[in-house]
Amino acid sequence: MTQQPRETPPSDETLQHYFDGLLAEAEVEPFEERLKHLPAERAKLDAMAQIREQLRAAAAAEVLDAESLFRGIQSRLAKDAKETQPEMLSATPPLALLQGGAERVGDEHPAPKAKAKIYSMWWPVAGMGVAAAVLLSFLVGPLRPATWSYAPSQGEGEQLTMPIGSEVMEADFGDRTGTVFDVEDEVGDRILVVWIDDNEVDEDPQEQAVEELGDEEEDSDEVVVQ
Amino acid sequence: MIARLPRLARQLPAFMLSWLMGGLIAASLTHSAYAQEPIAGRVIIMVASEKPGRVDPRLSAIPSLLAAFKKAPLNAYQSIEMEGQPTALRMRLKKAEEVELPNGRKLRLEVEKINTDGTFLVSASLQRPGQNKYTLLLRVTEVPGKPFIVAGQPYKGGTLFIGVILGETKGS
Repeated sequence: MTQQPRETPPSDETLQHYFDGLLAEAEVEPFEERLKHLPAERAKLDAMAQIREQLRAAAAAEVLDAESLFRGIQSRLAKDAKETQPEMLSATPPLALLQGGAERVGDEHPAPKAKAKIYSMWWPVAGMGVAAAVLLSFLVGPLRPATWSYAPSQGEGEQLTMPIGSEVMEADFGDRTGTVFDVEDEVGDRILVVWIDDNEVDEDPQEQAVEELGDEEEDSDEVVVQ
Repeated sequence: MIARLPRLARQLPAFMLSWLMGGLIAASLTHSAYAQEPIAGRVIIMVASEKPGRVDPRLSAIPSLLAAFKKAPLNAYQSIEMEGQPTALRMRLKKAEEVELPNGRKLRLEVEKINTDGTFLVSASLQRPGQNKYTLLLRVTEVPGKPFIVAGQPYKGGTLFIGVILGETKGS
């Protein structure tokens, strides 16, 4: 019984090259001739072909039916959660007070993380406040009575929101006599004129006061500024 | 966006507060600016005479005052000369200002208040320096930009006219 010499198996790399079609055409036929005598390598090639087919099928399914796949995953997760929730609840550890960074042992200058967060929030708030102040100042402008924007009347029949001229509320000519009258300006508004007569009533108000004492009909114009 | 809404909702009161603060700051700034803003004015001293003469050309810059001399009875004055330059005023509420007159008297002016219609309640007095007697005590409701005139005292062979304009507007 003659024993055929055992065919030297190709390396996995060569096998992979053949499987991927990377071997040269001249090498393919001799390589396939060798494989006829190498059942283990043929089995490897079959397995590689099966894996490739499965991968292709899986990739195609993922592309074509991604939504159903996603729904499946969600339902699966929900199912798992329902099943595992009682166990999780029972396994939940009791609440514990965790030590903050400020109280870490050996940390002399702990970073005030909480305060830093607050400050980081209030800086923009303060900035917005200042921006609002500037904006409102520009929009509102100086607070003045509306009637400060006074304009003389332009013609007949125009209604003014303020008097068309100055008016005397009180006039006391002291040691003189006088009168008050109006003249019109170029647009018909009144100009108040307070006329002080040159006639002096009396140089000495005290003497005048004594003389007029008892005279009920005549009012004294003498007034002394305190 | 939906996930960010709760965060925005938390920050909304802070932003509203910041705008409220900004509004208050703006209001206080503008109000204080108004309260501190002086009322501009002028005192124009003129000598008018019934003798023929010229009208000071500088008065053409004060048309409202010049117009008074074109109507009776002031149109009897044929010549009007300004005495020096007009005295600029920067009046503040309830703070009196004094203007020296060429006849040695003093004109004392004070804006007592600003009325709701925008007019000024002004008190004016003419006093002889060093004496407790006064020639005139006056309280006038003055329209901003419109002059009132105190006149009648003899001076330099003519009559002294004192024009007072407060809260001046363009062209007054």
